Amino acid sequence: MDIGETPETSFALRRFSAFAYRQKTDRGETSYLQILASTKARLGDIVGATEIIGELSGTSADFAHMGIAEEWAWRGSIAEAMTAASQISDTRLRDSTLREIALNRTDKINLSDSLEAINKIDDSPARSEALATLALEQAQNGNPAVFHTLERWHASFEGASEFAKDARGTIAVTYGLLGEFEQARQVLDTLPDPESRTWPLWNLTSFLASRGRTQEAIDLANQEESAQPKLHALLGTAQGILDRVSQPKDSTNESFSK
Amino acid sequence: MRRLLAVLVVVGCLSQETPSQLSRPISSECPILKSSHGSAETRDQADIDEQLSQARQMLLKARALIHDIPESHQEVAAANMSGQLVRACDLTDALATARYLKKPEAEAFAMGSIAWQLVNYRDTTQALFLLQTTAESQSRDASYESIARKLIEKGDVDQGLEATHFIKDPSRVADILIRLASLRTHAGDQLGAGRVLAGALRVGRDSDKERSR
Repeated sequence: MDIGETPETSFALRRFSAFAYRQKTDRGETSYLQILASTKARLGDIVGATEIIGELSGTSADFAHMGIAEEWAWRGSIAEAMTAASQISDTRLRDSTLREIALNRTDKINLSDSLEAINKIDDSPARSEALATLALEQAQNGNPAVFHTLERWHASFEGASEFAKDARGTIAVTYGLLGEFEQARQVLDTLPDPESRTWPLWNLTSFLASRGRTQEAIDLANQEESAQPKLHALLGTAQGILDRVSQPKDSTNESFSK
Repeated sequence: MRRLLAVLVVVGCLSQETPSQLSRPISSECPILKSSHGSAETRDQADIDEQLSQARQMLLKARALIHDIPESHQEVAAANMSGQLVRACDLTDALATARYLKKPEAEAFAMGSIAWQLVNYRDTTQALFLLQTTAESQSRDASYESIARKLIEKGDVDQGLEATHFIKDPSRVADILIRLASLRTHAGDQLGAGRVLAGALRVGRDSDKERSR
């Protein structure tokens, strides 16, 4: 974790702990114990957090399990992270925790761990979005595993219609980051409503123009009929041109290959 | 991470003056050409001028669409276009875009965006001047804060501290300075952190004196 336990946090936690247990004893109030358990988990004290869970019941322990799951994921212990996540009773919170595990930004979790966590997400749109976001982050980090993730996304969700539209925008931008603009456009063409095209168009036109493919960016903007995505396509084109002007002359925008 | 292209929401407030009424002349120097990249001068000037002109055209075309997009998106769009117009060496149109919606809130967002870009291109004096021409508000304080943060992140402690001096709400200043000091600590600049913290202590002492009067 970023901070870890320091003498000051230990002192504050001891005082808060006494208060939280007193609230449960005197008033049956467990919300402070929930906060205490989550805090301990985030400070890396998984044993302490687990002990407090014994004082909680049902959904009131969910946030503590979430904190523990994320701490295990941060340490790279995927099996323990998944076990802790499986204890979360609220489906949406469990899905959100699994997403966090999958997209964990440490280098300690590999692609199969991430995919395993995503596969356990119950809600289909959330699963689609998590997989698309994983691909985008891999593309941003120059991770060649992005191509495998994209294949997985297509295999699982390409036919899915309405619910996957946000994820499809993310997939289009991922292809743009990879320099694969034809595929990006194909995905973009499947986005039916103007609002869902705005963000991907903004990014794609910017990527195109910054690579010197300004006319293609302008064509995308011209083809767009709705004002909001059109405005952002023009904005993205301008941004891309300006990015190119401020780049060192000999810099290139090579995409990385499969 | 939803947006790759960050939406700059630097909140300022309503300026009382039009660009032509500003008491200090707008700089004719183009910030992007004297940016830290330092590569532009090595290129063919005509090519750069053409690209800047093309970017400006795109932005002005985009601006013409602003009333056709949902109202809830107009302010941020205007702010983003204003900021990019600064990059395109067109401060006059950047300021005109800030005022395009004729709404104080929209102008506030856009003025903060313009100032942020100017600081990005090391024209802090111009940025601070523009913010000073806007009316006092929490929004303007937020713009000063973001500028101070940017300057202190870059290691320019003196100008960063100067920007915080314009923040009108004293209760925020000490808090902001403490956070900025931690930025310098993380950057390994203990000396700079100490100077920023000294600034925070001064603000605290001044505030105590003010209260005891």
